[in-house]
Amino acid sequence: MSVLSSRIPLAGGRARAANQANEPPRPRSWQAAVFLAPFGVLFLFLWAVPVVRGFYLSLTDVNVAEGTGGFVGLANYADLFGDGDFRAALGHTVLFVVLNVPVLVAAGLILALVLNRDLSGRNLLRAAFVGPYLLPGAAVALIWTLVLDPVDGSLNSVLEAVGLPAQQWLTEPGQAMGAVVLLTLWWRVGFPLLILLAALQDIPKQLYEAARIDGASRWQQFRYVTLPGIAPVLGLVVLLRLIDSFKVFEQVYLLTQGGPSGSTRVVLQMLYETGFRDFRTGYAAAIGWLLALIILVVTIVHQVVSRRSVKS
Amino acid sequence: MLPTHQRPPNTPSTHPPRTLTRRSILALGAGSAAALAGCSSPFDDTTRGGGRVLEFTTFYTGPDGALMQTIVDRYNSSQDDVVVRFTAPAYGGDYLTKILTASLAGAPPAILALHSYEIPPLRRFLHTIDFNDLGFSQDDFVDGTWQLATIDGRQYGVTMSTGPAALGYNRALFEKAGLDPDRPPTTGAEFVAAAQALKKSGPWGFIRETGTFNPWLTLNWQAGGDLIDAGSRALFAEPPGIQAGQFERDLVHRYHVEPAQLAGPQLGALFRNQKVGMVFTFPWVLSQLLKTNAQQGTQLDVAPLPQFFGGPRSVVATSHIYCIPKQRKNDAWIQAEAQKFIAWLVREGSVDWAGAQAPASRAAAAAIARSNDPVVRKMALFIDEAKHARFAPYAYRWNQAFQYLNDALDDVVYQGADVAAELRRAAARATESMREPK
Repeated sequence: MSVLSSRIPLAGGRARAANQANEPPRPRSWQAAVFLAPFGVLFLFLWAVPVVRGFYLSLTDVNVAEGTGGFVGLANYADLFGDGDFRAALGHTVLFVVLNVPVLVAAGLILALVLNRDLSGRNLLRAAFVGPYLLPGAAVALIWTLVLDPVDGSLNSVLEAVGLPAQQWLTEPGQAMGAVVLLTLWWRVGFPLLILLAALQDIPKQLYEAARIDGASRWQQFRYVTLPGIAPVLGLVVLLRLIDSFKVFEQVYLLTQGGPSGSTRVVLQMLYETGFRDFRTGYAAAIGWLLALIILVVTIVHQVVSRRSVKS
Repeated sequence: MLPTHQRPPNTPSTHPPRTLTRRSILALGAGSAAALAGCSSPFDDTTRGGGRVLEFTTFYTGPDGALMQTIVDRYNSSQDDVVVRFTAPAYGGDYLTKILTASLAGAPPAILALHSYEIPPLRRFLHTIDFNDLGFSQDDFVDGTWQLATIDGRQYGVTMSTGPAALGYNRALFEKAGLDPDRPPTTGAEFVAAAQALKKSGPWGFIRETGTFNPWLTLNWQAGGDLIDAGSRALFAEPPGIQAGQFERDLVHRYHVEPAQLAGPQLGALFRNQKVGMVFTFPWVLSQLLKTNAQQGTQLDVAPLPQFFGGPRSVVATSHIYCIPKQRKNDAWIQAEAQKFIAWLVREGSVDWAGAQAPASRAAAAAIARSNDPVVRKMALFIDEAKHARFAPYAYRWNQAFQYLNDALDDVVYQGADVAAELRRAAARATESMREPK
């Protein structure tokens, strides 16, 4: 009920006094502005100014070590389209996204479905799958360097114990990206698991009861009750994983440093090396902005596809 | 609430309790911010902030760092003017990034250690050095070492030491393979024969260090080749480079004495655990090898690198040059104190430093040879090799250029890719990347 409709029509001043007593006090705008000012200052200097400066930097060929460089317009972006290293890095990044997102979301959904049931030890299992998500990247890299060691690693020990051949993992160009996806799955599955578990718990149980009464099988219940029920959340999880996967850097840099033979070198590593190893900060800024543009396009496409599927 | 005169005794005060109003919170916040802004950091005890602590930043992240700390402690106890604080925050590319970032922010350390190829990108932040100011002359240094810090005739640092490569080998495994441990290989053919004998008896004959061009670089130089020419054209695919690449490829795919997989950071552990008979090693590993011998009863030893090909005697080496960055405040005083410290290090610290690196000071050689410390005595081998030392050059974007070389060598050695094709492709990309902008 709106404030207007809550007013009781009384006679004269008593009406005005009664209405004023019902109205919430008006904030003093200057006080609100002053309390918001610290956030505003931080937002301005830690986000807005760097973003604008970064874009301007991408229009220069500044080298901070040499102290040289000037405005070059869109030359950096033109060079990027012709840069074989960038194309290769983008290819490796897209490969990671294509491998990582479906696997991670599917694993998160399956785990959420399983851990939403009444199982003994359910809480312990939930903690076990979510726990790695809390680990810092350096710890994860250290653990998986040992796990994936081709000679003494525990993963190869398990494979050999079940009669399968040991693999090279991070030391084989054809396997290294797959190994990175595997460790990312272990590290990051906790996030989609948590979000989808919450979404599953929001679906009214009566819908499942009604579906069972109507004779729906488990698969039909999943398809016609569960999936529509979690669709918006699932779409959000996919979107967040897409954005995160395009920004992959930590685990690649710490585990393989882009190797072997450059087979796992991703865009953010190229950005880091260009800006902080070669000190070509203008070109590095252009890489960052181009990646941001690519992520934006992917996000828009995802939103369009999501909306169409919801409508259908 | 009744007026005061109408209330019973012991009634609490009529004054309303003081509450924290929004205005008082704002005033408190503004006052605190002003007070904090007016204070300087209570944690800045460095010479940069007017304190006595002289920051000495290095890349000695291994056992050499612990040794340098003891040398620095000796300096601190020998004088009262400053306290030198030794740090080793990083190694490799990250180290240079940190130094550059600190220099751009106007807060570089008072003294920093650099490799020769790290000086050119940082030279605008460094003081030039006159040896006379430190009481030295060029003759006080092993020939070929003091020149490492010279750019366009100007001296940007003092070379404290170099780190030439040597052959690390396992005497016990040599004996087991029927080889004479007192006669490690001195030629390429002897090296291959030794590696094959070792492999027959169990362990790998040789494992290279991955992710670097160090084995190939020495082989390339010994075959008469070079890395880049005066015009920054990459020379990886010249005949000596291909010969060097082919030798490395053959160790894995023809002689089968080296595994077809990257060893990475496990190389040192594999050698200490006797899984491999020969490796290329460097001076800073020496103390760890001798410690392993004492603790585990192994017989790890070092010898000069073989001369693999018929070209000039060359061994790849690193360099450790101490430089003095320019400061925004107290620059003259910090420069003077830094020069005093560097001069003391070279004169008084070189012999101790021989426990980790090959000192560049000529005067230290005699004392090193007489030392009772087994590590220091063994360092004489590396000091002797220093006269054949060659160093990776600097070029614009050399990091990226050499990354192409490393990737190509990984493909050649581990995947068995065609040597000439891979090196040609790497050379073309490297030459392109080293082209300086107009």
